[in-house]
Order: sequence, then C-alpha cells, then structure tokens
Amino acid sequence: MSDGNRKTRVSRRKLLRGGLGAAAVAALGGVAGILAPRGRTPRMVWQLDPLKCTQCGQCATKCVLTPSAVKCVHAFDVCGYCELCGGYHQPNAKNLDTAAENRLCPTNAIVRRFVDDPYYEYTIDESLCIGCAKCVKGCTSFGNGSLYLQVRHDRCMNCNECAIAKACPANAFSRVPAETPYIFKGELGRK
Amino acid sequence: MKRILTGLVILAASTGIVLVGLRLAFTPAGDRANPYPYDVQQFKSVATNLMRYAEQGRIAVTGMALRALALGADGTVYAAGEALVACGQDGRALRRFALPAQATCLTEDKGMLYIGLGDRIEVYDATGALLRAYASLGSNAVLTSVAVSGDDVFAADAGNREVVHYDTGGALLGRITGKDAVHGSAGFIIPSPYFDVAIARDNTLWIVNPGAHRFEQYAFDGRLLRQWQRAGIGTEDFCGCCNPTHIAIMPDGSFVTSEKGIVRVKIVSAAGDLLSVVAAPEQFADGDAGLDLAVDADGKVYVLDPAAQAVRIFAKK
Repeated sequence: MSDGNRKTRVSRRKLLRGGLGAAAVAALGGVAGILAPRGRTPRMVWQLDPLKCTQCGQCATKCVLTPSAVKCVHAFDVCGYCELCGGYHQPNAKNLDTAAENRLCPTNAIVRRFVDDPYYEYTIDESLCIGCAKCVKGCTSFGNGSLYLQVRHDRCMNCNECAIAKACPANAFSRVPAETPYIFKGELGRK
Repeated sequence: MKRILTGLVILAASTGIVLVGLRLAFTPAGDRANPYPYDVQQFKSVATNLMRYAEQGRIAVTGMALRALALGADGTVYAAGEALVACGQDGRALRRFALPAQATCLTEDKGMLYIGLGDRIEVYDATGALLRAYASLGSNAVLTSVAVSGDDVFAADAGNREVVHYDTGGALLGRITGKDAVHGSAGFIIPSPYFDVAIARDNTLWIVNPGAHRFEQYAFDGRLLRQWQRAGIGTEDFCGCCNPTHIAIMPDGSFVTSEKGIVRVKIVSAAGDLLSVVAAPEQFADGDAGLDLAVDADGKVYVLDPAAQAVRIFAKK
C-alpha cells in the first residue's frame, strides 16, 4: 500500500514537471507563431513556355486527359491574317480555301473567316482542339508564330507529376503561380 | 469476429476497385505514338545539282543585333544595327560609329550612307558625320529597305505598306501603294516586317510584295510595268506567309533572294525561274531570319547572317 502511494507521488511530480515543460514549449511556439512572417506558399500550376516548345506532338498523347488539357491559342496581334496560312493550310494546298483536303488541322479546329481582301481571321474551336501542335508547327515554321500551345486550366488536373512535362523534350513545362497561369505571346505577353 | 472479418474483406475489395478505377482513369494516354506528325524537315532538302555556290569567307560583326547590310563601290562592307560598322574585304573593321536608333535598312551611294532608322532616313558620310535627316514618316512607319539611283531615293515602309519616293535632299516626290483597282491588286501585303526594294540597271524599281510572293516592277513615277508570282513549298517557289524577305540584283539582271521559315538564299531569273541555290537551309541556324543581301560586280553574294553574327560571302563554284 505504502509502495503504491510512493509510486503515485512520483508520477504526479513527473506529470507536473512534464506539464510545465509542455506549457513552456507551447507558449514558445505560440510566441514564435505570432512573431513569424505570415507568408504563404503560392499555389502553383503547370504551364508551357511557347518560346521553348518544339511542337513535338506529345502534349496530345501524354496528358492523362483525352483530349489533352493542352490546347492551341492564338495571338491575334502577332498574326498576319494571311490568305495562305501555314497553320491552316496543307503545305501543298491546291487551293487556298476551306476544303478538307487543303486543311492541316486533323480535327478541323481552326475556323477561317474572310475579313477583307486578301485578309482572313483564324480562330480556334477549343472544343475540337486536341493539342497536336500541327498548326503551331506550320505557323512557327512558315508564318509569324501567332499560334501556340497553352495548358488550359479549366481542364488541367494539375497533377503532382505532369505526364507531359515529364515527356517534354524541350523542357518547356514548369510550375507557374496560379495567379498568372498563362505564358502569353504578343502584346499580352509583354504586359 | 466474423462480422469484422467480412467488413475487412469488403473494405479491401472496394479499395482495390477504387484503385484500379483510378489507375484506369488517370493512366497517361501515354506512350501512344503521335497520330498526326508533321515533318517540315522534308521541305528543306535541296537537290545537289542546284548548289552552285560555295561559302568563300565570313566577316564577323559582333556586339549587336545585325539588321542591315550594304556594299560600297570600293568593296567596303557595311553592317548596321545599333551602330554602323565598316569592314574591308579582309574582314578588318575600318570604322564603327553609333547610331541614334536601331538601323532597319541601309544602302551606300557615291560614298554616302542612307540609313533607315525605323521611321526616317538619315544620310551620313563615310566618317559617320550626319549630312541630312529626312522627315519622319510617322509612328506607324517601319522602314525596311532603301535604294538610291541618281537623285532618286526609294524607301519601303512596311508599317504603312507603301514605298516612299524622295529626292536625295529628302523632298517627298511620291508614294507607291501597289493598289490597282483595275487589275484587282489590293496593294502590298506585309504580314511581317520584311519588305524590300531594289533598283535595276534599266532604272526601274523592283518591289517585293511578300504576302503575295510577288515581284512587281515599277517605273520611277509609280506605273506598274510587270509582275510575276511564285508561291509554293518547293525550292523553286517562295513559301510561307511572306517571302522573299530580301532581294538584290545580280550584274546579269537576275535576282538573289533570301527567305525566312525555310531559310535559304537562291538565284532566280528576272522572270522568276529558279537558276541556282546559293545557300541551303542546312547552312543556317533554325529560325534565322533577316538575311539582308548585297552583290558585288563579280556576282559574289554577301549575306548578313544575324544568328551567326557575320557577313557571309558566297561565290560561284
């Protein structure tokens, strides 16, 4: 009985000592928490740099989504509004018109609209674009490079390890702050 | 106990189903081959029998982005960017002087240098002293070429899509817009800032209409004399949105032309037929553009190569 009481007394002391220590540590942590800067790591998302992109076509095939979260976008202020568009027409197009055999895009995702002789406007139908980069390659190789690829964040799953980034031969993918999720060309890119 | 075991089995099974489902749903579409390849390299090959020129030498011009090239009557090579550099044929720099703005075009006539500085032309002597400054053509102006013959100066303005005719004193004599309602010409189509002019020995003006892949010959008073067009992807044609970017006239009246996209330099006859290739795409860096040209009396071709930071000299094999 007496042994049991002694044990109880010792454990209470230990408890008291431990409690005081824990309270001190908690107080120290609280003070440090109050004094510490209130910075937060910004949320980051995947994006590809159009100036590094080599239009390899893997954005269409490596993404976990089908069709890919990468789509073609158009910098209208860079476009020449050409009648012969390297991004729209087959390189050996017989006629510069909208006939299927003269078009480069495999899913007919580029819409060609007459503006004024001899200028045409080209817009991307994103619901059809699969991110294959054929038009981007044509435009970059033979035109002003106004068509380019971007990860669309209304689709991107923001995977921890982006399958396209892993496969990209040009190292064009990187994490960018979610507040500025796009890397634009043209006037928007200069802002 | 039995109920716990049953629960564990159900939990394990459902976890497995979920994992397999996730795996199937998020497996990269993955090592599929690209179903829509587009090989533009195939258009860059040049038949060897067309390669009738060889590179004879290079004059290195470093320290600035190169924009314009001219050849003096005495063989002096002038290259311009933020500054103007004059070099001898041996490559030695003779003079270098700073310019008030980035040069966009350049020519030499009777020892005087006519330099396009974006929106205006300034005339310098060979030592770099400013002789005259022409009036600005406005904030839209982008002068991309200048040519001089006698008292006539022609400047190609890509921004305003016209060729401006001056006298050597800078007085404005006229403008050529290329618009011709009768023949259905919509004027000069210039999708990118490349728009070249050259004066032939018969004192006529050749203007490149790059968006139409067309050469147009004009009298000095602006009358269209003739034109020809070569659009296509082959070596004998001019490809892409806007080519050729630069021209120069050979002593025999044929043209030497340079292109962007499929970067190459070639010789075409005055009627537009391909005669030979001076330099093939494989001789330039990918994306190289702005290959200004000059030709000497012997038919040697001088090519400004901004990516190589050099003036490259090609002569017939």
